[in-house]
Amino acid sequence: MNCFFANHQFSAYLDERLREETRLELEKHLGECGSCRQQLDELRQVLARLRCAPRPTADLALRSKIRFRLTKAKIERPWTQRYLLSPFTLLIGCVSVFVILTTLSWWRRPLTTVEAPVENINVPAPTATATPEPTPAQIPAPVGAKPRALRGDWNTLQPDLGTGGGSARGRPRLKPRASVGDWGTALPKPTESR
Amino acid sequence: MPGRFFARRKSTTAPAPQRLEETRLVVRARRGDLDAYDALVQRYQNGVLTFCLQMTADAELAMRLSVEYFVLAYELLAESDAKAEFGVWLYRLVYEQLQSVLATLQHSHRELNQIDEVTRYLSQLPVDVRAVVVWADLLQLPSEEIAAILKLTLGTVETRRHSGRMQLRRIFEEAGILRTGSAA
Repeated sequence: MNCFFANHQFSAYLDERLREETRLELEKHLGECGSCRQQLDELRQVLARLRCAPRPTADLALRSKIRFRLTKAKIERPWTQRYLLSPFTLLIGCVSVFVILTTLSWWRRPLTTVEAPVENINVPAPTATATPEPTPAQIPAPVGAKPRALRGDWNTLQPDLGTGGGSARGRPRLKPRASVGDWGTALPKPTESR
Repeated sequence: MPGRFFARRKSTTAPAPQRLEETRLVVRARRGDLDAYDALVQRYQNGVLTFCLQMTADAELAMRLSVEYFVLAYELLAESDAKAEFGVWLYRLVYEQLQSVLATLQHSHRELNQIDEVTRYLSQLPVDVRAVVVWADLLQLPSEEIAAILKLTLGTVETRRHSGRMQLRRIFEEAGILRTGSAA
């Protein structure tokens, strides 16, 4: 290490920021070079004087002046700054979301869940001229169509406990009570009058 | 050079709980809480006042400027960069504002004789070097923080710091206040 390079390492050496190998090399050079040793000593004195330089301690007067100026100036923050992410705003937001979700879920509730006694429902008596709606069983099948399995009415189905069918786990296979041979025999005919 | 010859130093920035507390204070001050801002002022008033004093070499002006800059910082806090630490942001603001003041500041000979000799010698350094020396050697700020304040690389900050110290050594030597020949 020469004097020029050593001179550039003095600051880092005094701050103890040199790597181990560079530090050892510099110390070896300092042991041999009196001029560098003197420069380092002078730099140490400079640092000592700097660290003893006056550092004024701000008293309460400074804070009071700042507080007074800020109060007097009435520096207003925009409402977005004042209320954004405050705990009160978060609470209000959570309550609002809860109320909206509850209202929506009540509004979308299906009408079938409204329980009303059957006897209270006024069913108008069928008039003589009123013709009942034709059931799917009464609709004539198209010519040449194959008979199809019953769908939709589980009341007319019964488990087949006989041989054959069913799943491997022993669950009985559902089978129509009546044989589906032709149209109109599977479902009971609608009553003429109530 | 710095990466090769300088050892990596532990960061000496404020510990995590202290930074968290400071972040909370900044958030409250942004919302207009004067008490929170008062706590922030209490933390940084000595640093800002010392920095202003050493840069201007005028105690009365330093006090006046400190008040001005803290008021200005409160006004600008709402629009400040939330990612930067408050100390870094504040010192950068003070340094930028001081540039215009220092450009027009002229001390009389009588005023310079009234101030401390270290402050007087410091005032002979260039402004950018002086700022680094004051932050590093008087306020003991880590180089990483100084680099963040000035938006410079760590190597540039180290160079300015070393340059400032060597210039001061020369100034002190010329003034005859260094003991020579004391080295073993």
